[in-house]
Amino acid sequence: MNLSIKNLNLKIDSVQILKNLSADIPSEKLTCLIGPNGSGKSSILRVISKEISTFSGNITEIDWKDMTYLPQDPISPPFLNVSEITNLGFYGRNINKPERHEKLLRLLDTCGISSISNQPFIEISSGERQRTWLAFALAQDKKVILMDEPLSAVDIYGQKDFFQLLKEITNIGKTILMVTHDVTMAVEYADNIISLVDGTIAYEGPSKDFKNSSDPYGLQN
Amino acid sequence: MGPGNLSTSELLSGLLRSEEGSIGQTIVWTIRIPRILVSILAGGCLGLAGVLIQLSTRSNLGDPNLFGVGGGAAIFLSAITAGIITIGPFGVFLGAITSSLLVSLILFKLISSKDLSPIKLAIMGIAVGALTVSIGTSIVSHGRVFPTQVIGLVAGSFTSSTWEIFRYLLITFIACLAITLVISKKFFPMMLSDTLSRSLGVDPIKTRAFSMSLVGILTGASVYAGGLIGFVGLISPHISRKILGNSPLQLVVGSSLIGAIATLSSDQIARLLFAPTEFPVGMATTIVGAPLMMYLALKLK
Repeated sequence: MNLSIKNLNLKIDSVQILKNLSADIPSEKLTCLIGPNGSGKSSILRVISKEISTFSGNITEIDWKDMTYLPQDPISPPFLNVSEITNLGFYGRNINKPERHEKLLRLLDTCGISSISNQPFIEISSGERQRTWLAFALAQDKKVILMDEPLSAVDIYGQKDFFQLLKEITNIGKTILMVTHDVTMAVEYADNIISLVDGTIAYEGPSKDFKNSSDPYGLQN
Repeated sequence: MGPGNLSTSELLSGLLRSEEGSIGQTIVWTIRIPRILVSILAGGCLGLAGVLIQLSTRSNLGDPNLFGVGGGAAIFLSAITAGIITIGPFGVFLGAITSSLLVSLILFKLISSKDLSPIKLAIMGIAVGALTVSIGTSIVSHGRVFPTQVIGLVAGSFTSSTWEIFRYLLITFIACLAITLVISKKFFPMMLSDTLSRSLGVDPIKTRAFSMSLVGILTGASVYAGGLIGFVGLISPHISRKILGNSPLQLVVGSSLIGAIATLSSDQIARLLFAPTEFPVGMATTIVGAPLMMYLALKLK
């Protein structure tokens, strides 16, 4: 089941942010949303996750209840450690304690944060924080993970590792839609690219075809 | 012990009600014991109110009296003290609760902006607090009132504790604690952010509104019983967090207990330190609480 966006229109304070936008986000793949500042990347995520409700158009095939949304720079709780934050992802899920604990350990391991699981969140690096939020999202066990610029404060080495991790996660059956400003990384690692300019789509398709496309950045308009 | 000097044997016989109508018995059963119980419960209310503000707003500087919630009740009680309003004891209690509830809901509205930050909340709260206290003081100075009554209201005092006050407080505290325990699980996702809380299925706005209503009721009851006692609501959650841990359930129970212990001991210090003169219990809590708030503000990121 793909995540489908159809004829999305969004106006905020009489400014047209998204203009009749339609796109398909293939399931169990990593799709990156790229585009200049103000092109509407983050707005798409917020519309899909129902953070914004004043839009017109349809989001079909996957219900928003099957998605989890990680906003840009989630607030860091001052007293929680890595494993406590991850554990919060299990909130409301009906699983018993031993099973939950086992799943928690596995998630920390998958996301490469086992060794820092007892460290306070505010004391770890930006890359480690993003891994923690990812583990938190995975604990919710939703089909789709929406992420807004998780790598803006992460260095290039951390970014590569993070993209590798995202690939592994799509391999275990998750669909990821991520906003990023880093086109090079997106083209190298993502399965799919959606390039956004001024609220419309300039390119949508496999990342390998991105560079051969006639005007992927929508500069000629 | 205490200004009305009782020997150990007088105290014991008073406690055991061995001599009906003796001075010992009267002092113990109509003054001392109600005062102890009321200060315990008022402290419990403040500790619980403090942890509810801090959990529902994610601000670790939250305090019901610094933020003016208690000031709501203080305005009303000033009007009572100044003789502007005249009603029966239960009416006074209800009025105190209602006026604090009103301020807590106004505060909730004020902080319901999109970018709620702990610092913004603290500034907003302290502004509301200053406003309510100054209104209360103006009203009370308008009437012909004894300075001790005014001090008791704005700086805290349990000198006029009675069994009746105790009963009102007991019901309020138990009811609010029970409700909080039922909803305490919701504070797990609330620890993160409004967005993430929503994604985990907990409506942050509703939870906050509900919590702030409880804060209003609890604080109103505590001001009705002992006036404005600052910093108990602020420090209790922090001490509880250090001793018991981060889970909301532990915080709710721990913070109520620590609020109770802190207020009881502050009141005993206020009563005994310069006996026979008493100083306001709110001064004792402030001397400990204010430096701690400075410390917390320094650590704030």
